[in-house]
Amino acid sequence: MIPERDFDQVMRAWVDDGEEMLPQRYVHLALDEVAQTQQRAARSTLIEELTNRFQGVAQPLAVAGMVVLAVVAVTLAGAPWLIGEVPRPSPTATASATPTPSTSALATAGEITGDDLRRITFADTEILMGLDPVSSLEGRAALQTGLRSSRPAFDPSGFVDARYDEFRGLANHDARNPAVIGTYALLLDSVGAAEAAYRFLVDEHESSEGWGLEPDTAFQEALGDESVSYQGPAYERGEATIFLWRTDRLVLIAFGVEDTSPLQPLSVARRMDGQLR
Amino acid sequence: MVRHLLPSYATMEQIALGGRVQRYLVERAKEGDRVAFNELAPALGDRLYSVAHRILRNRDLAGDVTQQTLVKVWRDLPTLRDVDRFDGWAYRLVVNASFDALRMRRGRQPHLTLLDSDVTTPDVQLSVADRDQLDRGFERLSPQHRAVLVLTYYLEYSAPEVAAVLDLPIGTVRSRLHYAKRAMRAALDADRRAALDAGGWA
Repeated sequence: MIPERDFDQVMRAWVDDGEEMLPQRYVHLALDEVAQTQQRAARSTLIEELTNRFQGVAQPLAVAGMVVLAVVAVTLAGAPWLIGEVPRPSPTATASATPTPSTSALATAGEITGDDLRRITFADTEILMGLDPVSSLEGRAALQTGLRSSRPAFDPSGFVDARYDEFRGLANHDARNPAVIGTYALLLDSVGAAEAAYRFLVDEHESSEGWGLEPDTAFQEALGDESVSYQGPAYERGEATIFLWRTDRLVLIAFGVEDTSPLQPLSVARRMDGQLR
Repeated sequence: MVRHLLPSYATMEQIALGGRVQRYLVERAKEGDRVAFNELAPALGDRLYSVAHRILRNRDLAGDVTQQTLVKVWRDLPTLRDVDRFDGWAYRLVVNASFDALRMRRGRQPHLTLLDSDVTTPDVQLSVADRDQLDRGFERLSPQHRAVLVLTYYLEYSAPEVAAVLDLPIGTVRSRLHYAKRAMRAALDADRRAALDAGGWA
């Protein structure tokens, strides 16, 4: 085993060992292209800068705002579910990629139906600031999300419904590296079936046949009844930050890939989990 | 950060002057002065190329990426609000362009060619075997882990500086650095163990 100090020296020596002069032809080609290229206007930047600057603040503010709104709604409406009347979510069975801002919390995880899944996976537009919905999968088609293509099909016993939504956008200021968020919800007919499905998905993320990830301790986030998070290359899309958890009969995933800040899937996971409490 | 703007024997005064000259050229180019950008481009190109070459481990690919990045620097320069952050901003562009290049190249070519090792280092002499093992260990890393290693060891950026360039939380940078170092160390240790084992049988 090499001592740490020596290893750092070895690394510096190794990384210094490389070219430092750009061949002239590339400079000439670049300057030829520059001569034909108009600069971007600074105006659009201001919007991007503001988006970037307030991105970190806006998410907690949006969560806080939702809490305040929920408290006001409870106060004004008398919280029907607190006196036994379960609110009926509007049916949203289509796979349309149109955001539906959630205005009220779902009752409890135990009362969820398949129709509710879209409201769980479609996080509020405030949370997903700068991201647009780009694709959706429903039913058994959504089940294979997050599994290696070489793995056998996932067909959990007690399956009721599943949904996957994906959002993409310029949350970061480099337009060529958009942020991507995915949300996934799987509903089973019993807690036991959900526990088995959760264990299966944990194994898919951690086993060498799956993604080979190690549970990550960077986020000490307790979600639902049991949860785990990962950071590392996954889903064949580069570096991913993944939150996987189970709440009652539901198994849920929120992840970010490509150029997504790890805090963004965390906010989405908290929001999804918060709906079910 | 003017490490590669001037020759290694440059004095502190020359380095400070280099920084002021760069700042002036960046400000002029930001205002649309193509002549200033033409002055800035060669030294900037060298610095960007040095980083791209180390992430990509391929001369042609690094040249293409640097060429694209120089054009992007020119095009987007008016959008840079703080000229003092020019270096980090430009490095971010070249790192992202390198990621794109690796993504596009993945699938077309299973392995990138190893870096041409014709430069020796004065402080630590690496054996050819060590260098090969480090090359192979590096090749197995994700683009994101490669970038953290290059920014840390080559540009000698601190974790907060790397985080600013890559737009990542500092904790993520530290965890990626830890993982990347562990992978590189494992590659090196495996080689040394193999050499010891070979010696034992001889």
